[in-house]
Amino acid sequence: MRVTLPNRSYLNDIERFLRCVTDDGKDDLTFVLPEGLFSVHPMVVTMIAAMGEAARSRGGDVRLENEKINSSTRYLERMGLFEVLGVERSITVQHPQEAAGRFVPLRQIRTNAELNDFVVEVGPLLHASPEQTRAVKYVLFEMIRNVLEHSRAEGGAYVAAQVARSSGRLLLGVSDAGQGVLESMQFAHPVSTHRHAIELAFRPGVTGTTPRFGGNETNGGAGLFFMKAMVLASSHHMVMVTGDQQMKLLSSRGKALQPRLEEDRVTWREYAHEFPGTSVGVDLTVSEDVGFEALMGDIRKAYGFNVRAANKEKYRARFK
Amino acid sequence: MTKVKRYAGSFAGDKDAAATLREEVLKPGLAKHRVVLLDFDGVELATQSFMHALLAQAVREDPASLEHIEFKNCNDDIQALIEIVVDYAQEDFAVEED
Repeated sequence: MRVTLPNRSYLNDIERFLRCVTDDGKDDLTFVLPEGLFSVHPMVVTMIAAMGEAARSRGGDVRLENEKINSSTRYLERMGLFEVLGVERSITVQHPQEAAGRFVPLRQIRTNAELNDFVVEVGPLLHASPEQTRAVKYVLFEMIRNVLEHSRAEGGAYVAAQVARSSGRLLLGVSDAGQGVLESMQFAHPVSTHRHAIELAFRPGVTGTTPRFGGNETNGGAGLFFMKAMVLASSHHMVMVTGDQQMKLLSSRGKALQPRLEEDRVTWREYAHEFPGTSVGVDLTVSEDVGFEALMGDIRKAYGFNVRAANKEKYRARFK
Repeated sequence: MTKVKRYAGSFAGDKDAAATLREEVLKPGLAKHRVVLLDFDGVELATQSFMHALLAQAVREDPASLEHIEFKNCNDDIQALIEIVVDYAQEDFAVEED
């Protein structure tokens, strides 16, 4: 694989990055830096890290080309990308991989214990009240937990985040070099395309661990649906890339939460190359509470549309 | 009374912790027809995945088991999550996917 970094790539134009990925038929990963300054979403950083892991697992090497020393490459150094890729470089920074309030450096998370620690650590970096960070912590935790539970990636999850203080936005990226959504869903469902696998994975009540609609004792098939709801409540984008497919969920202010991805504002793009695993990027607003409790009400309503309504009187949880 | 925080910490997202709580506390208590009191004091937030792993099986197998479970010291968010899991666990999931 050969990756030439574009000068800019965020979730709204993630295609700029994915178009710069080409399959050169080699097991190696060649990472080419652009001329001049550049700016990329943390999702891009995690994707490159996952591609590096995939290259090494194939027996290939990871190489850096066109090395430049400027503020952009120093940013990648601080993010820890070159370190994770294991490439030689002459770029140096004074405080490498320091989480200093603007970004969360690239982190590899392999266990639930590491995940628990990470979510606690990331809280103070958001410079917001606990109430304001609930949705962020929730989404971050679930994005990584999905990787640990479903990806079968040897290297676990690559996670990075960046805080845009002026807008109060948190940009999150989580990638892995695992089996991908299609293979994960094929364990329990007759799916043959990456796109259909993504659609199923987002549908409430559908999980890759069992063909039973509604899930089993450990999986309810609602994790991605909850994440989608929180991203939409925050009026931002969400991108998933797996195999040859890119799914971009666009914000739809004022529109009721839909149970199926097909009913949301979504764009799809197919690429000639396959991403080796799964990558998810989301933008969330930190500075305002997305109304967690109200959101749960919307989720409950949308979830109910997706299952046959029970005709019996339900028992209720009792709170003291 | 069982302190959920002792199993799951202040952010209850770990499904393994939920499964431990389910197997060590919830299921044995319900099997003996005892009232199981789950105290969420100190738990700031939980995930749907955690609540599902903790409650869904018991509710699906016997919705009346909720008569034997008491949830204490839940903040609004945790209460909302419990209610949504309890709600969908009682849905009829006989609908086939496409």
